[in-house]
Amino acid sequence: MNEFLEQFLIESRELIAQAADDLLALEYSPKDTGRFDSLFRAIHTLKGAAGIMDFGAMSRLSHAAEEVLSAVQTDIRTMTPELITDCLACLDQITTWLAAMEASEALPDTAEAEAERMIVRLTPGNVAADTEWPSHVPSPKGLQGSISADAGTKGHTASALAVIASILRQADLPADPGRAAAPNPPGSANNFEAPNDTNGVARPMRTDMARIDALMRLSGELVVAKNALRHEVESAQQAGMPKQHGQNLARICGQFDRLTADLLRASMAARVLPLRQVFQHFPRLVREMAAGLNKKIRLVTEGDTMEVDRLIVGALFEPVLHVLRNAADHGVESTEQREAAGKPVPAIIRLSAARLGEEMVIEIADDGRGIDLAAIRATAEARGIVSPQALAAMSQEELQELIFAPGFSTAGSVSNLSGRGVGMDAVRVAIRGLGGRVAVQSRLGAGTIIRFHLPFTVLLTQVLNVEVGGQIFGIPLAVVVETSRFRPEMTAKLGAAETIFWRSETLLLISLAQVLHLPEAASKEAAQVVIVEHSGTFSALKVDRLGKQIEVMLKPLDGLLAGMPGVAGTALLSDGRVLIVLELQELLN
Amino acid sequence: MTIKILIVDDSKLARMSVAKLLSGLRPGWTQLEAANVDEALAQSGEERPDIILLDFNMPSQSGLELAARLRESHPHVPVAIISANIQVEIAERAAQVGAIFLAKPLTEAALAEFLDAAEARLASS
Repeated sequence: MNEFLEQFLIESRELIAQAADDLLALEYSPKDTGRFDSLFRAIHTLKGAAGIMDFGAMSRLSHAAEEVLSAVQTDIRTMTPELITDCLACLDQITTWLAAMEASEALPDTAEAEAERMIVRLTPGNVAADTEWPSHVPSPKGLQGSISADAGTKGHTASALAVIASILRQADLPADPGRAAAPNPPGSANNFEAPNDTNGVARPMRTDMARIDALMRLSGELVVAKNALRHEVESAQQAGMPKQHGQNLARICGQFDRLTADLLRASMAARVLPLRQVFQHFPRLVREMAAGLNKKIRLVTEGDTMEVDRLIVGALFEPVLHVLRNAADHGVESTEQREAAGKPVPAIIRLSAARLGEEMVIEIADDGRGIDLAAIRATAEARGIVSPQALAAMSQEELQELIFAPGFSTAGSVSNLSGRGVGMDAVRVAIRGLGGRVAVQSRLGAGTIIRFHLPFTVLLTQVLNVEVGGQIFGIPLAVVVETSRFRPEMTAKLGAAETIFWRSETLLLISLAQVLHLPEAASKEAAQVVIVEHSGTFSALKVDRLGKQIEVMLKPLDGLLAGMPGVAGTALLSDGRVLIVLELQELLN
Repeated sequence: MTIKILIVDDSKLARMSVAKLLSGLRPGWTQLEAANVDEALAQSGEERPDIILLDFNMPSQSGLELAARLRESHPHVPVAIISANIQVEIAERAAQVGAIFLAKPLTEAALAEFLDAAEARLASS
């Protein structure tokens, strides 16, 4: 692909994203001149770019859009929601053309006719046809083919499909979808593969990803080699190497440590993307969802400048989409209901990202009807998911957690939009696969908050090695508060359990061997106690022996083992063994 | 001494396009690029370009304002404003700040004409 076309595609896509963002913002802040200027400039530059590439139909359509904006600026026309939909449809049309251009380096033959249709649609007095949200979201592969024929002619359906198709194209999900896989729900983006253009040349993005992956892999192997070197130096020192050599080698190992850490950090930095890459598509999608549901909903995003590992960014699209669908479909009430309850219209769904210590928290908060615990109890009982006695004993939080149970849905009717509400189960599995967890908080009548707690990277972690039942495990150093030798005087009995007194608290002494279903060590002499913290609570773990603190490249479990609770991932040790790194929060719950 | 020409446009594609035309018309010249007003001012100060081509439609400051500033600080440098808006007012306003107006998309003929005139001016000044 020639460099002009490449640059044209990159810039045009950025301009379209900017224009769409501005349009959506203007819908609710029509007087925002900054936004309007930005929108105008984006469309104008798009026109210019089309001119440079001599893509006539695109020039003409951009020009028509520009005229519409001029008319709005001079108050000849008003920026109504319908006009915004029409402008968004123009952008979708251009997006479709860009995809065709990427494949064949020219505008498709149908472009002239499509441009004409769209220009007519932009002319005042013409009303866009309105159709229903599709009854199912077709698989991404199927979308590729069906889009170009329909785009621009059928209102919500086509525009929504076009948006999803362009998102999936641009999301550039990692080549190894198994990494972050949930068992694929229908319409899953995990099956997606970027189309190669017709001469078999892969998109530029793919080559970059491959290079970065290679860099990461080599960095990871370097970490292993570095650990092996250190190991060897220490052995040599113990075997009686001359002191000076020992010191020199130790110093060099220290340098090595720093350099590999820097290299890994630098290659990780090449792998991060701002969350904006995935967040930016959602306001549009929510708008389309709302239109299809005949509700008024606005999505506000925050914190999307945060940079996160590419794998995580790509893998977030599906889970966030699921939660948004649920919120729009089940959470948000109809306009009449909201008005009757004195709630503002449009409903607001807030998608935000923030850092909380070593975690990233992504939050989807709606101001809808909240989770109805009575409905949950009824459904759980009716479906036999939980026995009535167990239900009666459940706390509010435990009842809310039931929404994650497979096959659970309190939706009265199976709506076209979110199907049977199986989303939350798949969401939890997907987030676990990334080494994270999902939490829910809700108040009846006020709204629901779904939170994803995720690690920033799936990579370099400091772990403390411990020996339990003859096996070695890693405990992330981030959760370790203290270690000490186990002394029987420390403990007291509490029924069948042991407790330990620590910093004026009495903690249950948990035998990690028991938790992991491994044999307890015969002699307790070398036993150690590791105090760990998770979500503000402290736990005391008894292990057979303490090993070293090492730095490892944590690889999350994938394939069949993905989402296994209690395990954060695996790491390759310097002696070639595989270290299982524990996820204590899940293990101890 | 080689003539230096500065191309100012926030679109890399547009800069590439002008650069290509320039390479065809004046292969021996040194090409400088700036993506925004700040870079343009920095480049003009440091590199002292002989001719400046700038885009009318840029984010923070309009091309006209930039042209006015450049004409003030470097009065002997011929400046051309390139715009897709082929309106008489813009051409007039360009003339007011002492800049030439060129229409987008830039054609080889239009650029050649401007470069010939600019070169002549430089030779005589």
